[in-house]
Amino acid sequence: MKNPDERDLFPGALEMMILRTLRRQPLHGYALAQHIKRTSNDLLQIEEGSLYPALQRLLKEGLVKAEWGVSSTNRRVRIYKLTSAGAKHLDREVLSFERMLDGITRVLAPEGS
Amino acid sequence: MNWIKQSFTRRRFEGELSAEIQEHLAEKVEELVASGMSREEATAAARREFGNVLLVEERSREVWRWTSLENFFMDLRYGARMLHRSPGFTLVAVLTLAVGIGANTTIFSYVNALLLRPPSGVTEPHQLLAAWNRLPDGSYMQFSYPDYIYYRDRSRTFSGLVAYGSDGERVSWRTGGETALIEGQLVSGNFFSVLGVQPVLGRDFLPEEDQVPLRNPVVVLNHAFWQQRLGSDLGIIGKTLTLNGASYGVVGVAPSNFNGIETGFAPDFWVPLMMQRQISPANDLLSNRNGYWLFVAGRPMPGVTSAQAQADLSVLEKQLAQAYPKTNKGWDAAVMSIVGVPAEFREFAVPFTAILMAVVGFVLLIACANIANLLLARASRRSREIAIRSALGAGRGRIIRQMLTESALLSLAAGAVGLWLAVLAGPLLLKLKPPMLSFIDIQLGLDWRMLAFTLLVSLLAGIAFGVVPALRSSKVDVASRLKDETLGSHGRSRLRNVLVTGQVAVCTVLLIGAVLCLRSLLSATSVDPGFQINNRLMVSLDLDILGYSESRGLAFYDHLVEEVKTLPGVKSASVANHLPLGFARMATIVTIEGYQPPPGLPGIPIDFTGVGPGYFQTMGTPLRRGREFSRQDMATSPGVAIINEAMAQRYWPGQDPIGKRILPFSPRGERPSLEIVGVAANGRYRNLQEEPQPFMFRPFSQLYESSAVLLVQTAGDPKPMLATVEREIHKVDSNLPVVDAETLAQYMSIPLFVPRVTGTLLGVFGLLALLLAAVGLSGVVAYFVSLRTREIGVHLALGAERGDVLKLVVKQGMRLSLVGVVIGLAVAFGLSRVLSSLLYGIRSTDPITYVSVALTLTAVTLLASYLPARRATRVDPMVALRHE
Repeated sequence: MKNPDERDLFPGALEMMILRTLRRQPLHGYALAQHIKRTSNDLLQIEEGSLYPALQRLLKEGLVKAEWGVSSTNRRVRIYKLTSAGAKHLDREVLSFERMLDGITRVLAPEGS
Repeated sequence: MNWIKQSFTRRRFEGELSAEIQEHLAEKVEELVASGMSREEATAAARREFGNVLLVEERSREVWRWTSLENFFMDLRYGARMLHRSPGFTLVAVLTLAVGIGANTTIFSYVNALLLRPPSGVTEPHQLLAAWNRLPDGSYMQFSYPDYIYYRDRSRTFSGLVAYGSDGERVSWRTGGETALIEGQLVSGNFFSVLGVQPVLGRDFLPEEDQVPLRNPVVVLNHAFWQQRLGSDLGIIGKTLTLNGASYGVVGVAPSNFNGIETGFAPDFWVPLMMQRQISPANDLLSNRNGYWLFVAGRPMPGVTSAQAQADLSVLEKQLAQAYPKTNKGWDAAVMSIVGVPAEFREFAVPFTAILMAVVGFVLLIACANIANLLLARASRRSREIAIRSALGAGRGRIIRQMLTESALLSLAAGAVGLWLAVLAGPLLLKLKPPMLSFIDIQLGLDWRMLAFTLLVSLLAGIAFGVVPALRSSKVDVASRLKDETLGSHGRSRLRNVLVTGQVAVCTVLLIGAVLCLRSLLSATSVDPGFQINNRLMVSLDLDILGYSESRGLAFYDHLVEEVKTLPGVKSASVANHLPLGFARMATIVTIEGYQPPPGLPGIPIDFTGVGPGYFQTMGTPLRRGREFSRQDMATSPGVAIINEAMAQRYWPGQDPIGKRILPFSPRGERPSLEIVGVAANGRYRNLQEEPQPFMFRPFSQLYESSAVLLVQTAGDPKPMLATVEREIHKVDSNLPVVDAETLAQYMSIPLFVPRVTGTLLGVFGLLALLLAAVGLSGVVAYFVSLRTREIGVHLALGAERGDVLKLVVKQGMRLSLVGVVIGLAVAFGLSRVLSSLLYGIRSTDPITYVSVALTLTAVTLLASYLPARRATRVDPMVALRHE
């Protein structure tokens, strides 16, 4: 019975992936989960449930908004959309993530290369 | 504002979230079914991949701010229910803690009243600064009237400086044919206006009412005095009070919350400084540069810091020192907060209350350790419940929070009870005050500081005893706990052992302190003060009120003593200016031939008092050589003195001091020398623990003061004689009110005050600590027994004697307590210096005390472990083994 947060790579990673996915198109929770799993080639083992607290946090900060709608399978679902604040936030996060990744890569790179 | 809207839409939101999650799961199941799974398998798989639904919902909810508060209320409800379900535990825990917290709040109520609470009824009391003369030796001194005026008129940093008499003025008040003694205070004309005190009736003093001596006999009344003694007479303004025989016009009644600004003293009335000669006729203090009798306080102008005010006054003091080098040379000015007892007493009050606060802090620590132990025992009983909660998805933090909420509930309940105990105990403690100190007025009432202190102490205590058990019990291995709950308590009992050892150690320290203080009280009581205490009584009189001249006063006292001597049951009688060991003290500077005075002084400082004929006989002080004063030693006859043995030995070693001469110092230098006519046995003069000090007696007649003490030696019990003597005094002068009449045994309560208070308090707290520690230890041993029931059963089944079992268990308890005692002894030894200033006639490292406390504690802990150990011997091996 593990804590869903513990499968986050680092704090904010899940949020970043959600924002990135929503940038392409608005999605409801289930579709969002499936998309992230699929695109990560199932490398990231994310409990589907952990999406929801993350979505609440994004909602609260106004980075996404949600509306009730009907899914392609004709279910009443909440569809999440990126707000403009969310888009800006994503850009910033991705930038700083890339910098961090760059730094880590340099440190981990074999010496002399 | 967003969260308000959110809270309104909360319920809907929660419904939506659940619906959303249900849809998510349903969609997943359908997809899996479509891919060929059975519905049952699909449901399980969907749930597995989703994770814990309840937890996800809770996490999601937590994102919105209301949740933490709601969790808190849930914890509170749950905690209250848990406590309600085990009333025995709750009762014991709350009472134990309440005693600990109550002790702290009680002592704090004194700290608050004496040191922290600003005078009530004053506008912006925290702005007020008290001004003091700072002497070259670092001590503080009040102001003379001329110095005050200099400050008042020249200070550039104060918007107003007020002065008020530092001693209460006792005056006679004639009311309906009777004379009562009441206490007033002389205050400067700007007193009420600078303090911002508006009388509820009438007005305060006008500036011109404090300008010309004796011109304006006006009085402002204390509200309580007006209520209790004048029946809240609404028409009092304009009426007069007869004080010391003069008519004073009542101009105002102060508000009920105003008692002046001298912490510890609440006058009955206030009169302008200009009336000083009428209120205390003996001295003219208004023109006297050597009379230091005024407290000075002021309100700095807006924006002025206390450092600037200090600098301002220092400059003025330097000018005074230059103008009057004789009196003010080397003096400086000091300013400090007005809050708390005056500077002279603060030096004593601060360390004294600090020690007491530390002592009650220790008591609370012991109580906390007890509760922590109870909680640990309870936690092991609750481990199944906690395991279930964590299996259901409660995170560790959530469980810790729940446990801490329970601790906080306990400690807050205990805090409430403790506050109640403190409100009861505070005034009880005030009863230790000798009756002679009736003018001391300590306002113990509840205020926000006491509430805040109790709340803080309660919460700290709750954290102190709650954190460790909470951390411990939240660390559960769910699987093993759900299967079997009897295993794995080793770490926990080690912690309990540490707690008990600590308790015993703290208890040892407290008991050593308590025993030292009690023995110091005993030795102080048995100290020979240099006079007999039994079958003696004393009556304090003050002729000031009658306005007698010196010769008439002397004649009065002479006549009174002769009359009293003739009373049946009286063996002898005499008078004295004041008795040693009280509050009054006189000192002079003398020149003794062949003796160099200490550097910087014109002579040798010697304490002295004036005594009448027959004083030594009446007091039972043996005379080693020479004679008593007689009625022939009159005001006009040659000066004589009787010295004590210590003075004789120091200044005339190996010689007969009779006939030798002492020259009292006088700035004017015209005093004739004194001839030594007698040597009296040593006594104690300033306090009971002092080494023999040089002391001098002079004839009462040659030192006349209007106030004096009539001393009477009775044949039997002096108590019934008090009324007889008082009647006799009124026969001599019916107008003379008796200031105080008491037996010498009662009088001794003054020098015994400090040892009695420390002895009583530390004794009570020491016993409390012992009781708490004993309960704690026996609880631990009982727990040890319950854990090892099976092991003991095996021992017994294998043929162990019951005595062996008893030994095993008691040994466990004793090992803990002995370690505690040893640590406690070491700590007490390390701390011994702290107490030494409060001890009389006993060293703070007194070995007998240490050994006896160690033995007592060992005996008590032996008993505390024996009782539960006996239960162990009654274990039925069959039952214990079947328990498996």
